[in-house]
Amino acid sequence: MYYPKVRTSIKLLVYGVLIIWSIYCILPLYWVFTSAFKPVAETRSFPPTLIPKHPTLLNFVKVATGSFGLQPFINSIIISLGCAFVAIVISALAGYGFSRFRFRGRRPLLLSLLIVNFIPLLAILIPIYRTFVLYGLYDTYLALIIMDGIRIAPFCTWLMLGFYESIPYTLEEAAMLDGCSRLRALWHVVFPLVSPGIAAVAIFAYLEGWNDFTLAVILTSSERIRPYTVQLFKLIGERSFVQWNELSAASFMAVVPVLIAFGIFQKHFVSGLTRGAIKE
Amino acid sequence: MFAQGSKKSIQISKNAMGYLFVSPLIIGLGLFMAYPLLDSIRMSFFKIELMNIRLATFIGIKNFVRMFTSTEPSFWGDTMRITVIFVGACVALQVGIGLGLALLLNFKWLKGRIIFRNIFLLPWITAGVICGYSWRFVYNSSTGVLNYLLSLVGIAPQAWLSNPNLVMLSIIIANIWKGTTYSVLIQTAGLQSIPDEIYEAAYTDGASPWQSLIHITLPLLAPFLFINLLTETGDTFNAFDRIYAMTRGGPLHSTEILSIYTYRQAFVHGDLGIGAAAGLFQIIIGLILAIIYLKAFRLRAY
Repeated sequence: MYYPKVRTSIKLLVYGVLIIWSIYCILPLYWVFTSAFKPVAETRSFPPTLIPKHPTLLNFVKVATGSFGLQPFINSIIISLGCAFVAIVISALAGYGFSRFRFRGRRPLLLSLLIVNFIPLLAILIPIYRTFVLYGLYDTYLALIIMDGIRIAPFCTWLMLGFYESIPYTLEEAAMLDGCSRLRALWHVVFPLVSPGIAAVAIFAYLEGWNDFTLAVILTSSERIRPYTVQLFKLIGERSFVQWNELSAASFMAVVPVLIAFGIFQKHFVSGLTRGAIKE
Repeated sequence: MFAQGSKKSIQISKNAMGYLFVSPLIIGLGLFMAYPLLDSIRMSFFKIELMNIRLATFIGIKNFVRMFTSTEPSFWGDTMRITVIFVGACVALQVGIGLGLALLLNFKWLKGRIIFRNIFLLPWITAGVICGYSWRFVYNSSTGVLNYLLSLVGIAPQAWLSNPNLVMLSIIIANIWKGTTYSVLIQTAGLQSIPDEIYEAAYTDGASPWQSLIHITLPLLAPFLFINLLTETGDTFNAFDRIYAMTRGGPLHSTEILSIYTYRQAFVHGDLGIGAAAGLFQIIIGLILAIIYLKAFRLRAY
């Protein structure tokens, strides 16, 4: 807001509120992350220690070699990459279609994409579960890749549409007049220009697959397919006594790569999000 | 005449090609969104058990009758009451706090804006199940950090997740942890769409900061607030993983919001028919929200 002189007391108050909210945001994760480096006895002690007294990497070794295993992480990577691939292909094509062609039913279709966010996933998953069991898609990577990819595709299409709209049509037209086919023009002229959009779609879709629990808990049953989210849940559920330190190490391994990727791409991330969420 | 004809044929081929490009999206949504949506209507009139999934027996509206007349938990008295409290509290807090934080982050003199924003994004990019698990850890009654912090100011330890009177508050606090960030982002985008000149003009006309907030910022932010309200309502209404990972709807169904109820009926009790009926109920509420959203959403540019 435009006010040249702001009293110091007000500034302090503003910083105070923002810092308190930041602590609230960090606190639960901080506790999980530090517990990942604490020996078992220390995680059960009261009062909890702010900084691990005897930091250890043993918890990570236990996660990798114990009942958690590395397989759930590998599964999550496969599912997330697949989801990103599906979302990129679908939304790069559809975004182009919506941007460059004025076909009948275009506006109603674009609008109906916005409805998808309001459809409760669980409600859809009951018929999906039955269909997938009956047609042999249950407990496969493909089931999760398709469902994760389709679920995020409408949002990604809106995102891509925004990027295509920012590129003048004359560029492809020139290429096509020079004898390029439309697909060649799309591949060689348009795609390189919308690559930030494709990057944003890839991050969003990867994150969607990586964080998904609801789809996976319903559509998987074997440890061979199960992503880390479901493995975490099963281990908390099946044991009456929770091994906080091991589960914290697993959570640490799940969240830290996302944080790093996010740190690198955060500019695309935030602009992409608000761009797709609010279109005027 | 000839020219007109050829122009028209280009137009038609362009249209047909447009359908080609959007067809993977439309086919995907049709098969994996629209079809299950219709299938859930059909399934809600059948008795289908998880253990014997091929068998579907038509039983009319019995699933709905059983759902609406069930006791312990009663559908309207417990499940829906809990859902409304949960959604109402979370949405009000998430949109309200989101507005407040977005206003603070928008001060021109603020330093470290990007740092604050990135910290606020942490909960939002954390998987729902890890969010639920982290908060379980914080709430743990014997070793949790929350009871420790409260003991420093002389408050007795509480059973945050097993005391039926406290658990709703606990899951609301955990849910707004994850949900508020989205509001901050949307409303920041809204605030940035308001040109500085308006504030400068108001300032030279002698408006106080409070007056420009009430008479400039809030009216211009209203569409963003409204859209934010609807998306948060839809999102909170469908919240599942973070709550289920924390409490599994317990203790004694005291946090069993509608989505957990649907899951329990279908996949814990193994009655897909009732699950589909509950799901249909969720879908109808979701579609009502979606229609309001579409009415509010203006397709100006496209």
